[in-house]
Amino acid sequence: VSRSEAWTADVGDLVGSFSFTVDRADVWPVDWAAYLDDPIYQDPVVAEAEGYPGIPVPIGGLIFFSHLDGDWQSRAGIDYRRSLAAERSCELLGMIYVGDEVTGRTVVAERFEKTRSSDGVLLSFVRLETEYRTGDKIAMRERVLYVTPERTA
Amino acid sequence: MSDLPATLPTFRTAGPIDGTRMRFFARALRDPNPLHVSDEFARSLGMPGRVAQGSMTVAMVGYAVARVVGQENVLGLEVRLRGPLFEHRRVRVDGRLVDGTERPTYRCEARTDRDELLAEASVTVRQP
Repeated sequence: VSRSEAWTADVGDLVGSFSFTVDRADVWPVDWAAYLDDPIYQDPVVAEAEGYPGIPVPIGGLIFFSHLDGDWQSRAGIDYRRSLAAERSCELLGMIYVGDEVTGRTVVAERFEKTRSSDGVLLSFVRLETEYRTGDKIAMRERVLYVTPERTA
Repeated sequence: MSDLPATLPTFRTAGPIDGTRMRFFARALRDPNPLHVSDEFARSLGMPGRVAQGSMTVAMVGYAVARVVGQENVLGLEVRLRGPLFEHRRVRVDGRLVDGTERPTYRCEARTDRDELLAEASVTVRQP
């Protein structure tokens, strides 16, 4: 696969947008699967007793691709047979709770290439940035860096 | 002066990450990558078996800090994923407060019970 065929969204271009309501069924499996085992992520009564207005979404419990259409990968140039997420950062500007209406948009924030010194393989990097909003407030800004080996340089 | 602990209490998973937990996590996040659910697909890529989502490690790192300072006081995290989390591993997360940063920051590491490095992270928190 040549690089020119691998993506269509350049830096600043929209990869996708989404809108959804956070469901309790999206939260408890994260708590359980990762062994967080904290009742604030399962029981609204416990969450409220801890001072939260509802069940909070655990850090890391939302990711941009959950609500994007399947074509985002080709626009971004992500191929699950070859691409790996290398970094993920989240700027947490507000809490997100079960029942919140969340909107978001994902853009290409950065593209660059490097040659891996160990074997000369050219690596393509793409950083996708997603803003999550609840109402008119930005609740989270997430950046995920994917790396894809392209070919021998 | 900071009332934050210099060292985080170690977060440890109460058991190993198995295929059921990987599937639940992947389903909750609607992750379309078969790497997290299919041993066959993982082996086609030369891996010994399915791999947990990096987001699972991110969740553990975030929680290791959030359970100490309160989630509302976690301002951000940067996680560099260093290695795959294969099935049947337990995970631990350690962290320590570092000096010289504008905001209180914990440097964290996530490792398996076989001492495989999964992630290095910086987690910024609100000054108490």
